[in-house]
Amino acid sequence: MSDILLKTAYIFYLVSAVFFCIHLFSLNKTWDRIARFLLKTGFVLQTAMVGVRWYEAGRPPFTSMYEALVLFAWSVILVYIIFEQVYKIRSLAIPVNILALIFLSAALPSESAIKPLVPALQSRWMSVHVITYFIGYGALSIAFVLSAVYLLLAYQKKIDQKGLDLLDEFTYRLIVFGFPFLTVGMTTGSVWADSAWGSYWNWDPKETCSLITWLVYAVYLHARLLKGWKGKKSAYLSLLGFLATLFTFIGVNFILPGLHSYS
Amino acid sequence: MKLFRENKILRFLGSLKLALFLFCAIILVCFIGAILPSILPEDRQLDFFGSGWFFALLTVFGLNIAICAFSRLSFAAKKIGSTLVHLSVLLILLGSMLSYFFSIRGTMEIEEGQSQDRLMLGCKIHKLDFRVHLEDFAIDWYSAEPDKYEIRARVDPENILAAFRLNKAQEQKIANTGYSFALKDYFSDFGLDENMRAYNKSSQPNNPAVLIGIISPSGAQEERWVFANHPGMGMDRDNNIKFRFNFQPQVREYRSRVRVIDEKNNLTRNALIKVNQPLSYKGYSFYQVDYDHDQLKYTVLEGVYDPGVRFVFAGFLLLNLGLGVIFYPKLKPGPKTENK
Ligand code: HEM
Repeated sequence: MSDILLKTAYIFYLVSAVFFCIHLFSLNKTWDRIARFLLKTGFVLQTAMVGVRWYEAGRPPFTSMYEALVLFAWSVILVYIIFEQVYKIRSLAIPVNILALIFLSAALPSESAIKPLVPALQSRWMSVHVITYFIGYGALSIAFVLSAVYLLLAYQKKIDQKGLDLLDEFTYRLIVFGFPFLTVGMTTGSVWADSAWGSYWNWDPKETCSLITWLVYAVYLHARLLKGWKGKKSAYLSLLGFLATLFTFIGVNFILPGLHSYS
Repeated sequence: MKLFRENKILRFLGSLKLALFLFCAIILVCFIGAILPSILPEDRQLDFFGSGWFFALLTVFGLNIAICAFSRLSFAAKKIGSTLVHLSVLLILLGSMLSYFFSIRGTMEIEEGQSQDRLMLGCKIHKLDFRVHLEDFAIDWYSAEPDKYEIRARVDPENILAAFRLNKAQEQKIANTGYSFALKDYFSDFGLDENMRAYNKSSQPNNPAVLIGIISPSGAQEERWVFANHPGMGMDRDNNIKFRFNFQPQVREYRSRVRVIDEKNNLTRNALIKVNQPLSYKGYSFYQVDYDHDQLKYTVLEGVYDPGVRFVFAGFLLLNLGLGVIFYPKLKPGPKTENK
């Protein structure tokens, strides 16, 4: 049941992407409205998918690579919906749609069988740890796209300063939104590690990389507040931060063995 | 406060320049430390993050935050979040310093029905003033019943594949081949005695094996052991038929039922120790880390005394609070973000 829901959600995201493309060319607002409606309907379906899989597995569905990728796509859209509500900003929908499609395209062909949890993963901290990290990752990945777009447009000089400033401002807000979530993720992770292994910090490669990510964004925040780093300089830091995020999320699993490797 | 601003060395030590340098240094060092274990050979691993110089690096970082935070110390409403965040990072660093210097970490092996009051710290012994008595140790499996698993057969030269659920005593026919077989026996922990006779060593699925009785198209009969962990190890008379036993039960839970006996205080306490459910007593915590793989007769607990934990967690709590206080107002929609 959960696979069908996910595939349906994926189709909604795909069709939504098509409508976004039509909107870009025709500039008729109706297309944009339909596209965003489809994106949100896909999100509702995907939320249902996570719920159904949780029920099917009898445990939080956040442990395999498949489940992590699904959650990544879900959190990116969740962050978008929050930002749309708070700031009435609609143009984030396109990068968000692309990100969700990328993560789901990676998730769909991967091994999706429900596997039982090893004892260390059976903890009530697991859901909070994973969900908060992924909401943080969701915000930071949108920030990454905005920074990349910023740099592209800034070098091509295709946009006025006001547009660039807005991109810069939203990148900042997304990082300001994501950073505390990373911190909650790190906190709950350390509480969990303490109850499972008797040590709140183990310098496992994934932990170390998540600390690196956190520190890169801390540098971003300090440089911006105290050194007035804006625009290109801070966009590069945001790119670096997301590279660290991606390395923490995926790189570590394939390159560096440790306590966190997905099954 | 004035001293912080006027003394050149203190000013440097609390400067943002140094902070940014240290941030970058820590990031770089952490990156090296994260990839080093995969590069170094097994026998040449380093205790990179436990080394003195890494400790020194973090100490300088702590000093930097401390001087910076105290020189600007402010409890004004506008600054309270920032004060909270920097003091909490300091608290986390101080807590981890306490852990680094004063924590005690050792293992304790206890046999069923026995007590233990010593932690083994490498080759040193740390004596506790109470005993931990093991009532029993057990493992729960997700499903260790062999009928939940599959036997696969391949018949050559036609390369016909078939899969069956185990079901004792019922004869199974492999369609289009003339072969049939039946499950004769199942041992969870296959072993051979001195007379080379097969027997079940324990009820643990350490070496699961099934005995399969095969009747070939010619009517010839054969009995064959098929091992889950060692496919292809059985001795086959008829090479045209091969079996696979896909039996991989997974551990659901390790459980040590213990009693803490504190004779000094005339106290006993029963507890169940599992992964993610340690026992805490008198500042010590006991974690399930290992067990007797053959007989399940003893458990191995890790005993930890760590005076830094509470400070680290208090620091984390304040850090999260502080970040909320700083960033929540910054996320409110403002003039800059309207009308896009
Ligand atoms: C891991 C360590 C650190 C964390 C998590 C951290 C976090 C923060 C945060 C979240 C802010 C507020 C940013 C904003 O308002 O946009 C901030 C501001 C600031 N940080 Fe840090 N910081 C750390 C280390 C340091 C260090 C080592 C220094 C030493 C110079 C420092 C100096 C400052 C200053 C001066 C401010 C501005 C304070 C204010 O507005 O009152 N921070 N920090």
